[in-house]
Amino acid sequence: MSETVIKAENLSFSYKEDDGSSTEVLNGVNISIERGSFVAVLGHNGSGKSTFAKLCNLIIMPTDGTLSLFGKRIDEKTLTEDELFEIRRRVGMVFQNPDNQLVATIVEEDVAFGPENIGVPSNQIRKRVDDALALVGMSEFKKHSPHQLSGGQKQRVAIAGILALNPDIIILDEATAMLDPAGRREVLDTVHRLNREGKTILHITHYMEEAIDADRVIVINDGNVLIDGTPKEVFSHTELLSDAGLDVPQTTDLAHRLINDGYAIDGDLLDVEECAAEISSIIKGKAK
Amino acid sequence: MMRDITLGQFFPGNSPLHRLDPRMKIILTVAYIVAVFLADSVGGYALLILFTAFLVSISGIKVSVVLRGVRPLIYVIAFTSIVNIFFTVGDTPLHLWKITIYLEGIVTAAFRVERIWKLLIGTSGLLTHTTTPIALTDAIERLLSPLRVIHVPVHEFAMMMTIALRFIPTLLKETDKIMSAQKARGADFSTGKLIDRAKALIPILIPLIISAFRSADELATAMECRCYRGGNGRTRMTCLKLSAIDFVGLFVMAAFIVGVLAVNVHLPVYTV
Repeated sequence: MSETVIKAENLSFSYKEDDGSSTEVLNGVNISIERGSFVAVLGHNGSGKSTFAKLCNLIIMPTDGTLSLFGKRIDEKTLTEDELFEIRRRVGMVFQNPDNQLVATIVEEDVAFGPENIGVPSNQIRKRVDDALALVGMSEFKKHSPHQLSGGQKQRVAIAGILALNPDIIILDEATAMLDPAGRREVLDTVHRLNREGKTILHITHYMEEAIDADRVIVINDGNVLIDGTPKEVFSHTELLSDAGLDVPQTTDLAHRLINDGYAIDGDLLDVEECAAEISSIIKGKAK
Repeated sequence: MMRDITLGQFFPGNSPLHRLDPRMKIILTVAYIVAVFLADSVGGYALLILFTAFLVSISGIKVSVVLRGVRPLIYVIAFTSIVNIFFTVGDTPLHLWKITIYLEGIVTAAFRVERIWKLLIGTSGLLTHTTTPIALTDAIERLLSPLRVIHVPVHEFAMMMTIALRFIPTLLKETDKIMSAQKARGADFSTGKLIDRAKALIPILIPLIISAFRSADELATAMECRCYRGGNGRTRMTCLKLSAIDFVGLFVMAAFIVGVLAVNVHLPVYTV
């Protein structure tokens, strides 16, 4: 049993409206995330998935329920500023718009921003910056200006900026939403590699295909956990998913339609190759 | 359209001016400005022109680029010369048709124009063309840091400048995008009376301002996520250090100022 790094019990969050009423965004969520896992959080717009992400590094505070980070229960009243910033250091966050999270005019200066903030001595920052840029494969761009980079490259710089703080968890809050397919691939390959090197990844997205490679998929709908399980388990609930406004991956969709039409096909197929092999074997079986 | 602005743009290079410590460069620029105002004779101006030409030549920046940076102020220069030529009264009248102007007026105008010119080349041109914006803000932060004692938020000013500079290309791109979107819907920015054209800018400015506010909000959250909490306890990756070239620069500038003063005293031709 590995260590639980994020544990939410009955976690709720609501906004206060101007007229005094409150709007509930998360409504009693129970989620626990293990160290080293790659978890995809799915949900359509307004489902509360980004709110969950912002709670994980205490950019916002829960209004009800308990939240434990790294085995320590978060209590807003006793939390010191140093503890707060230590949690923000350990839980790094990459946002949707690459342009709105880079601070400096030079890539390496931007990556240095985090370590500078936590007071790392000058001579060690250089090494951290070089290491972080090497990890995301952006070393050759270190003297570039962010506006000369593509979207995918900017997001990799943003990830390097987080890595320079040496976090335990990296949360991608729809970090692939504004990228083209090539840029998305770049970013996903990078985070999968980081995951293999031991970082816990929480990938928040509304692209089903991006959840296929995750260890675990959590579907959030209307402020609640709808389904929680392995990608195969989750995608087999085609109807629940479409009710939540999400599309299942095309392969799963196809397999389920075939099952409904009376074919004996495995409904858990996610991989295009697997699916093609299964269908061709059925066609061959019929031909015989 | 907005990409042609060279004023304040950095040009990479490895000239002696590029290698000067940015703090020293700011101090030397201030000294240069003082020298420009000290020079008030033909000899002083000649020295000033020679020295500026020397600086431009060692900067490795094309003369045409430096001159292009001055172009936006051509109207200011023209206005100053006209005022000086027609409103200066002196001892040597020149009669042109029905108007009387004085030789002194022409000389003053020439001097004034020369002064504006040199100021622009020295500051906008040579300082910003050879220093990265980040080095510049960094240097300003360090030079002003003694003011922290009297509670001037020096770090915050420097951070604001850095972010402003960082967002210039982003906002230009956003402006282009909004303009294209409005043009696609039939907006017309280039014809009509001045007032119509000004009105046509409103549909660009409003989305731009809204988008800037959104960017600012998101950036603030991203900065908090990266543990930003103001200037206290912050370290820097690069440490600025004065080297031999900075002292050479200081010496050259000191020699130049002494030269200008000496010329003023010993060759007081056409002093203004």
